[in-house]
Amino acid sequence: MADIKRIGSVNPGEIVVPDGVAEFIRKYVTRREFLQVSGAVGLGAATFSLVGCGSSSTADVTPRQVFVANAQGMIVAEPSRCVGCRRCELACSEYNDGKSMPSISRIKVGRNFNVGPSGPSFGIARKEGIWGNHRIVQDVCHQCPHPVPCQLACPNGAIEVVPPVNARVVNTAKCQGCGICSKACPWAMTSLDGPVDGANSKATKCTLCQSCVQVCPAGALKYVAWQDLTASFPPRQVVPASIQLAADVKDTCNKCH
Amino acid sequence: MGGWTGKVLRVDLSTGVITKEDTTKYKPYLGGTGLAYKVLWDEVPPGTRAWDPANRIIFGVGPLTGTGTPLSARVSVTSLWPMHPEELPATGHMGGHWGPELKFAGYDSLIVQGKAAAPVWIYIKDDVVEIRDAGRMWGNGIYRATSDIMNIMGSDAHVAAIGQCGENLVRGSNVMCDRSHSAGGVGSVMGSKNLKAIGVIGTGAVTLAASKTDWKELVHYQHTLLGANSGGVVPNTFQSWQPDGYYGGTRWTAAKGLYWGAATPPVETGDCTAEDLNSIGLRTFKGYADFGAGVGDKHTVKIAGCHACPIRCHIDTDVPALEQFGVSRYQVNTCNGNSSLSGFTIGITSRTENAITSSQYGVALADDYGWWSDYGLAQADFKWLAQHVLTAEECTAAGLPPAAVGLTPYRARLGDAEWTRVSPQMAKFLATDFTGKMNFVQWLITDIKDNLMADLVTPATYESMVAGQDPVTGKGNATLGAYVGVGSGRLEKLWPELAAQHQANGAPAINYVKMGHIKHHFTESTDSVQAAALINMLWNRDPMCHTHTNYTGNGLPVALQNEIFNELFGPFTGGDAIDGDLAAPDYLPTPMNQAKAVFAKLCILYLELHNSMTLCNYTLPGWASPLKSRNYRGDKDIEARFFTAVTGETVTRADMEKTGLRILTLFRADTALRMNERDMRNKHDMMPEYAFHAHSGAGTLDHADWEVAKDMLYAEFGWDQATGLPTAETYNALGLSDVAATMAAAGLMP
Repeated sequence: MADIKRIGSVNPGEIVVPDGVAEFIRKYVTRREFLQVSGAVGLGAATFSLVGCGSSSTADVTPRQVFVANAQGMIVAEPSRCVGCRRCELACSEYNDGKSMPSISRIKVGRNFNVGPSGPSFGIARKEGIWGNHRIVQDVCHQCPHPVPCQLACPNGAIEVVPPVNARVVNTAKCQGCGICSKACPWAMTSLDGPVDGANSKATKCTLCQSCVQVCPAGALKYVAWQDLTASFPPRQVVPASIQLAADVKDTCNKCH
Repeated sequence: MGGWTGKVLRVDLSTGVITKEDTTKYKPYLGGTGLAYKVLWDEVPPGTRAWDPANRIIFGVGPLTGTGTPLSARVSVTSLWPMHPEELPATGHMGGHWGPELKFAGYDSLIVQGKAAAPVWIYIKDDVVEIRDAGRMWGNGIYRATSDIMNIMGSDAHVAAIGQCGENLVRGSNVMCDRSHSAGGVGSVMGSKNLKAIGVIGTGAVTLAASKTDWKELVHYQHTLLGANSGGVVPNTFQSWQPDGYYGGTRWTAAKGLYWGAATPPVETGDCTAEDLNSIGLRTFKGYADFGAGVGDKHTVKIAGCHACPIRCHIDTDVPALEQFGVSRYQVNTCNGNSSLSGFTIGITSRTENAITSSQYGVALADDYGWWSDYGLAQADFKWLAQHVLTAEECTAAGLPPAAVGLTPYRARLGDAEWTRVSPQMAKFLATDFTGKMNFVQWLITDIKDNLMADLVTPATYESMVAGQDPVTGKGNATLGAYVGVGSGRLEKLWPELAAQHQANGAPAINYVKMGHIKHHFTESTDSVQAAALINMLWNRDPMCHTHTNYTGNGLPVALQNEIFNELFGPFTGGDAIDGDLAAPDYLPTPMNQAKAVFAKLCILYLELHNSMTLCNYTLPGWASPLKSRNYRGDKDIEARFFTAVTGETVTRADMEKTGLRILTLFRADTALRMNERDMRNKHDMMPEYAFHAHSGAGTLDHADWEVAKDMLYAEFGWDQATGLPTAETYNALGLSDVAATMAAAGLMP
C-alpha cells in the first residue's frame, strides 16, 4: 500500500494533484469562505443524481463519487446531558463490529472524558471533563457537505454516500486500511481498526445507524435532519499537508473549480 | 472465545521484571477477586504482612470488564489488608474507567509484587509496559500524579494513584482512579511498594463470542430489566406513570420539576418511565436524595458513574462557595465518600448549604490525599473519643488511672505535649463557627497524612504506638493524626474503652461488627436480619455486599418480594426470607429458616461472582424489574447469560453459583490458614454483643437463633457446622483438592 508521499499519484513518485485536501480544508473550514463556497455549490446539488457526480478518469471502473449530495440526517449531542458512561461508544463498536473497542467508535467521548477537548496540561481543575467542570463533550461526525474531506482524500474511493440518508460510509471492500481518512478529517472522526496498511485493517466512520442514540441512558444524543454544522465546531486536528486529494478526483474538481 | 484477553500482567518492582502470563489457570476463578484469591493462595505464604514486598496487590478485572455488559466496569483491588488487625486478605472495589482500559490494553488483571528501590509508577500503553520514575510525583496528591501522567501519556490515560496517605503508610488510605472512584484500604500497600500510580491507555478490543444480533438483543433486554441504583425497581418520588402505586425508599428519585440545577442549562429529570431506556441515567438523582431539596438539586451538574453503566450514582457538584477555601468548585463523589472528612465535624445541619459545602470541601481534600475513612468508622470513633466523658467504671475496665475520670478518651490518651498541640484544633471541632470547622478538617487531614510519631521514627507502625504507650498513665506518644489513620482495629486494642464501646453500642451508632471492621448494610438496613448478619460475619472487612439490601430495598411490597424470591429459588418450608417492615416499632425478626439461609447464601455467592466477573454489586441482583408487564419479575440468570454471550462458554445459573462457591471456599481456606484457626465459627464468624440487644432502628438477633443461622448457612455451603471449615467433600466437588491437601497438612480439616 502506498505511503503518504504517493497519495494522490497514479504513478509512484509523481505528484499529479496540485490541490490537496489539506488546502481545501484550510480554505473551506474558515468560517465565512466555507459557508459561501458550500452554499454556492449546494445550489447545484439538485442537478446531480442522489449520490452526486462521479469521476470519469477510467472507463472500466465504476466512477468514484466526488461531488456528493448532502446527508439527510445527523447525530447531534448535548454535553450537559452526557453522563460519561460511554455506552454510545460500546454500542457503536459492539453492534457494528462485534467487539468492544472504543478506539474505533464512530462517536468519541473517551478522548474528552478526562479534561475536555483541549487536551492535557496543568490546571486540570479549570478545564472540562471529569477533572474539571464535569462537562463531557461527545464528538460526532458532521456528515460533511461537499467537499467531504475523508471521502475526497481516500485514495481508493472507499468512502461512499449511501442512500437513503446519504451517510458517508466506508465501503470495506474498497478500504485498504491506509488510515488517510483519519488524518483528513478535521474533527478526527474516522478511525482505523488495525495497523496502518495492515492486511485486514479497515477504516470506521459514522454510518448514521443510530445505535448510539438508542442506547444513550440520558437522552444526550439525537438523530435529526441534517444541516451544515461544520462551521459551528472548531477542528480538532490540523490536517497535514501530506494529505492530498485522491488522484482520480482532480479532474472532476476542475469541472466546477 | 471472548471476554478474556488471555494475558495477565505481572510487574515485580523488586527485580523490574515484567511478565505476561497465560490466563488459563485463573479461569476457574473468573477474574477480579477470584483471581486474586488464587494468587494470594499460591504465592503469598501465611505470616506475610501487608507491607512486606512478598505481598501482592492485584488489580483484578474479569471477562465481562470492558464489554458493553451493563454494570461491568468494576475493579477488585485485593491484597493483605492493612486495616485488619491480623492483615488477612480483603478487597477494595473501584469503578470508573480504569478497569475497562486495562482490558483494552490487553490484560485480564494486573499483579504487582516486590518493592521498588525508589518511587515509581507503571506505564501501560497496550503492549508497552514500563516501570518509570515517580520521584517528581512522590509527596504530591492524587490530582498532581494524575495530571503529571496525563501530560506524559495523553489525556486518554486512566490513572489509579495513591496520595500522601498511601505513601506515608496511613492504613486508612485508598487507591483512586478517575477522580472519584476509590478502592478503600489498600493505598498503603502501594505506598509500601514505592508505587505511586498506574497509568493505562488501551486501544485494543475486548471480543464477544455472541453474534452482533444476539449481543444487541441481550444488552437491550438487560436495559429493560434495570431499575435504579441500589436495585430500586419502583420510584421513590412521584412518577405519573407508576401503575400500581408502588413507591419505596429507593434511589429512583427523579421527578417532574426537579432539575440538575447546576447544569448549563439545567436538565429536568422528569418522569422516567420504566420503558424509557433513554432516561435510565436520570432516574437516580442522588444529588437531590443525599443533599436534600433546594440544596442538592441546585448544586448538581449531573450524575456520573462508571464505564458502561446506564445507572448513574456519583454526584457531580458545583459549589461556588468552595472557592473561598481554595479548592475547585467542582467536586464529585457518592455515598460515604461524600463524608469521609466532613464526617469528622459536628453540628452542621444536614441538607443545608453548609452541609454540602463541608461535604464537598472534604471530598476535595480526601480524594487528593487518598484518605479512606473505613466506611465511616473512623469518623464515628473520632467523635466518640473526642466527646465521650469517661466514667470511673470505664477507666477501671480500660486500665486508665483515676485521673482519667471525667476526661474524654482523647484527653486521657494523648500525651500532654500532643494535647497542647491539638487542643486549639479540638476547640474548632467543638465550636459553631463554620469556617473554623473547615479549617479543622483541613488541619486534620494534613495531620493524618503526615502520620508522624512524636518521639519515634517514621513511618508510624502500630507496634511503635504500643511501645510508646505509658503503662501507668495510658498516654501514648503518637500524634492525633496517627491514631486516626491507624484504624479502629488497632486502636481498640490499644485503647480498651473503645473496644468496649464497639461491643456495647457500635461506636456510637450501629457501625462496628468485629475484628476491627465496620458493618455494611447490617441489622439496621435489611428486612432479613439474620441474612444481613451472616453476610457481615464472613469477610475480613465490611462485606461490601449489597445483594441483600438491593433486593429487600427494591421498593416492592414485602409480600411481592417474597413471592418473587420463592418463585425463583423456592419453594421453601418454614417461612419467608424477608420479614416485615424493619422500621415498624414492634418489628421482630421471625426465626431463622431455610428461605433466609438460601437468601444469605445467594447474596454471598453473587457478591463473589460480581466482584470476579466483574459486575456491580451496588445495583444487582436482577431478580426484580420495574416492568409491570413482567409483573415486576427480573431475571435470575442474567449473570449466566452475559457470561455465556461474552465468553462463548455455555453456563447455567447453577454453574455460576458453583463458581461463586469455589471462589468463596478458596477465600475461606486462605483466611483460616493465615489465622491458623480451626474454630472459624467462633473465632472469625463473630457478632458484636450489641446486635443481640434492642437497638433503635435495627433488628435484634437472638443468641440461640444466631447459632441456628450459622448452622444453616454452613450447610448450604457444604462447610462443617462445628468449625465453619469447608469439608473435604466440598473442596473436591469444587476442584479444590489441592487446597484440601494443604489444609489437611496444616491440621485445618474439620
